[in-house]
Amino acid sequence: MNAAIDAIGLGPYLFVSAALLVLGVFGIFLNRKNIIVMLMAMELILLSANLNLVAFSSALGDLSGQVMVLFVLTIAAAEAAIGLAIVTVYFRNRGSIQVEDVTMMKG
Amino acid sequence: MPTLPARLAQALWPVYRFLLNKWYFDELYDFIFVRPYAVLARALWKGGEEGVVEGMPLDAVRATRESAVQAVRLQTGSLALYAFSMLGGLVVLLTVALCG
Amino acid sequence: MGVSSFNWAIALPEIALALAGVVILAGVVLQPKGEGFLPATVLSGAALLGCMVLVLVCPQGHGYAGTFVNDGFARFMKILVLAGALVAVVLGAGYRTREQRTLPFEAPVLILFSTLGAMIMASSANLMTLFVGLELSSLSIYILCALERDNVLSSEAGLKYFILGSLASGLLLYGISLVYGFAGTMEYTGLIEAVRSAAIPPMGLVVGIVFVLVGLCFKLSMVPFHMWTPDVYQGAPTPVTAYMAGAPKFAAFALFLRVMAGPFGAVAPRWQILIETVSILSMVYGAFAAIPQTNIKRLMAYSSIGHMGYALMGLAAASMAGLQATLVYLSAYLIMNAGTFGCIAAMRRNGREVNGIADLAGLGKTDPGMALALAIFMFSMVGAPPLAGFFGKFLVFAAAWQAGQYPLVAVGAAASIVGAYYYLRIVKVMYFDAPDQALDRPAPGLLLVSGGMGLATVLFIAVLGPILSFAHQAAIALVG
Repeated sequence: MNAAIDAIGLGPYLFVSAALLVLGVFGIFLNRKNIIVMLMAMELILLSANLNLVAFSSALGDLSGQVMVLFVLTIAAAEAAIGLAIVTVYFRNRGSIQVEDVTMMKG
Repeated sequence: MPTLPARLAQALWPVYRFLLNKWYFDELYDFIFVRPYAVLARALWKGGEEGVVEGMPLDAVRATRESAVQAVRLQTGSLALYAFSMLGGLVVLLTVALCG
Repeated sequence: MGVSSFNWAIALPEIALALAGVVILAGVVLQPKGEGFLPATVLSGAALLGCMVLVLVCPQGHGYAGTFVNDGFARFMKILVLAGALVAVVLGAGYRTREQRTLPFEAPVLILFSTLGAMIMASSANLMTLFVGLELSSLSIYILCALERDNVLSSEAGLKYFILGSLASGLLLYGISLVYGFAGTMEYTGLIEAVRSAAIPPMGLVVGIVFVLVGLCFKLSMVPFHMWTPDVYQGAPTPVTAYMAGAPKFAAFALFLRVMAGPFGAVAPRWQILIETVSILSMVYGAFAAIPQTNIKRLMAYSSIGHMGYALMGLAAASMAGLQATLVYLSAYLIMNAGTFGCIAAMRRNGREVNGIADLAGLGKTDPGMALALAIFMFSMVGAPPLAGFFGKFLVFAAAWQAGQYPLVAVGAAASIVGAYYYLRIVKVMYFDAPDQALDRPAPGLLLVSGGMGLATVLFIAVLGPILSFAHQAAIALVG
């Protein structure tokens, strides 16, 4: 049942998910262009955690990790919807979704 | 002999003066203690008291205000910087937790 | 586990609140456009009040297959959260946007849903419940921040909070996945055993704990995860700011205390130093960065950063007295914070909202009542006896002192002195500066909030005994 995990071990899964996390985090703070890219980076972070959860769940033979993944997928969908709505409202008011324009308030 | 003391004083003039001025004790005292003390006191009063003690709260207030302005300058409003500071915090906390 | 172990009754307040939210939303959507706000506000307020009663009568225990717990601690935190939300709803009723309109009717309903998430957080007994509650609470707040749709500052606040909040949730989730993998379970009871049984906690577990810590620190706006706070507080509509400064902070604190004192309590020496660092940084930064502020909402943001630092001192003490002190601190903070925002929401001139500290000039002459209330809150925030803030601060400092956290106490005292400067500056502006044009007459709802909270701040000493024993029970429920 856990053939894939048994065959290659947990390590590669953790490595891939860590790489996804780093990509996602860098996508947020190195990205100087577009806020939509940030939304994508956020999905990447959530998915990296999901990969972790599924891999651990399979390796531990415990189902709660996979249940959690279902919750996270739902939440990620809601988050994306809300994020896009906020970006739309922001664009209507400001006429731009460049990251460097989001600095009206500071100090 | 009323003239003896006068003659004695004449003959031993330096000793007489020394004794007359009470061993120059006051002058000595003035030179060794009073003047250095006065100088020290004056230095502490002008420099120490008015400069340091009374100035310290003012300096502290100035330093506080300047560091406050610097602290606020960190808040640039840029999302990238905000995210970066979170990440920096994460890395620092991780280092402390793993090595500390 | 069978259905019998579900123990439906212990989540009665949450179920009732969720149903009420759905019903209110469905009912109000059918109203003609622009007429839904008042019924939605009244019904949401009633639902929150009713929920508070339910929290007090609802049975305690574990349920939902070990994912949900209702104990003295959860009860204490839920009451705090509900009170904070109720105040925000009342503030929202008296608040008008730049176009002299009320907020959209979704505002009270969203506050209600966010409160529901916060209550689930306070009752979580499983990392899954933790995450779902946190997200329900946060997602509602993202929308609330951007709710003033024609105001660019409001939408910027929403955008900033959304991006950084999602990043924090992502990190928290990643931490949860690591904790799950290396401890083998998501239940707190299982985690306690897993953490205790290992002589040296595995590295993955420590990394996971730090990630969870970071996610929670973000919600509490602890330095260095605080950067969103001033911008979001300034841009969001004032009742929403009042809500954000209260309820979600209490919920995040509930999680913080529950997770750190419970499952990870056995590795306390590993995280204690982190908490101390973060607490010191928050107190100092909150005190310093508030000094040059000219906008009172931004000032309150820095003030809340500092206050969270003080409250966290109790946890850094890692003792029973520390937990109790933190709970009392949060109760006092709820009262004075709500009252201050009541005054801020009442700051309008010629129908327009003003937020400058200079706009308060001469308030002592033009509106003595409001000036007195604001002065009381400011003195309470400084920690002047015998006001509410004093007792919280005193207990927290005493607990940290007893635990031997002398550096923490010293820094806290210094930060309090610096903090006193900017709080008292507001009092000075109100009473000694030349009167400006008078502010508008505030709405009755706002007067109710600021007056009531002012009274509560002064009379806190009278109810100190019951609050202390309530907090003591809560702390016992947490540590056992």
